[in-house]
Amino acid sequence: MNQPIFPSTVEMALNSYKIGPLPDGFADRLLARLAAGNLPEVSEMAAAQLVTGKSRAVSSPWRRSGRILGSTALFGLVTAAAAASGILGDPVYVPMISEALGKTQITQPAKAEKPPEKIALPKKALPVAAPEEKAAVVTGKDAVKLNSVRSPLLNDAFWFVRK
Amino acid sequence: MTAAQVAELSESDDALMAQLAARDPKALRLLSDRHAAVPWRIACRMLGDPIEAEDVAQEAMLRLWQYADRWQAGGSGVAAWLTRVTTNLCLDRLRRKRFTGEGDAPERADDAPLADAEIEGGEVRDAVKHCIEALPDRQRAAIVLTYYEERQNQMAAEVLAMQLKAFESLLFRARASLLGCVERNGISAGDISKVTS
Repeated sequence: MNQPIFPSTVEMALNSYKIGPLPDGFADRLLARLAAGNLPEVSEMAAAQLVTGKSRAVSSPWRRSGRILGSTALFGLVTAAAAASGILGDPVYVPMISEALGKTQITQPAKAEKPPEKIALPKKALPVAAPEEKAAVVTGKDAVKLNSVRSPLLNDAFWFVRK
Repeated sequence: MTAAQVAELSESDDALMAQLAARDPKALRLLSDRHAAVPWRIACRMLGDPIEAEDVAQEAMLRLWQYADRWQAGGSGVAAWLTRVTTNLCLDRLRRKRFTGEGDAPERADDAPLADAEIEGGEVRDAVKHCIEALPDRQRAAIVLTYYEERQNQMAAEVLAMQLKAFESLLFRARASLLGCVERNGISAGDISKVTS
């Protein structure tokens, strides 16, 4: 047995709101209206109801709003996915989407941009000492060998030492 | 009852709709006698005004006349179609009233036959009427369709272009609001016994 929807007293109160039969002469007035050509405006809504059995040709405001919001969200998602996959140019890192694309291995995932590293400067710029070239005193055969490869300056130094 | 009258009564709705499509006003009268009480009751409870309710009921019947040539036999039936169209016509009127501010106009005297007949229980009836009219439009439609017209939730949901779950949620809220209103109005068992006796 079904549970009553309302308490019995409330149900009795609701049942007291009865509607009487159709007013007298309803059909006569209806036919007079028809004869006078006083017909309601043609609406595609009722036609659609009649043909398809669907209740309303125009959707409710909630459904319409939901559709607009859904479309906007979908458009945003598609755009973000396109940007992350590099369809619009260089891939842009989009949180979650880039990772998801990387996992699917469809495209090369864009890496998150790292902030540029700071270059640590020395506290005191010390003068860099120039490496001293030592003039090696070479004699004999080695000197002849070296003569062929050394720079002219070293050659002069060599001849100076020999003298 | 004459043989012709018996033959008329035994004619199916679909046959009458075919006659309506052939522009036979007699068929409209017969369909009106059979089914016009449905839009009348719905409109009365939805709009709370018998004059406007009759106008809506006539409009629903005339729409049946206008679209008879597109009628598909074997569908949900004339009564179901009239329920759907009338509910939406009422919702449209209520919405239009709210935009134009007509809803604030003083109420017309209730000249329904039953209002005079039930003087004793008039207070209870008026309190219930007030509570139903205080409901938001769609909640009112949900109560009228399921409680008073005894339609299935699925059918009522289709009339209001809603998913079944959403409709059940709407109906739950409507019942809670109506119950709260009736209880707030302090309708006692004694008052009700006057109505029922």
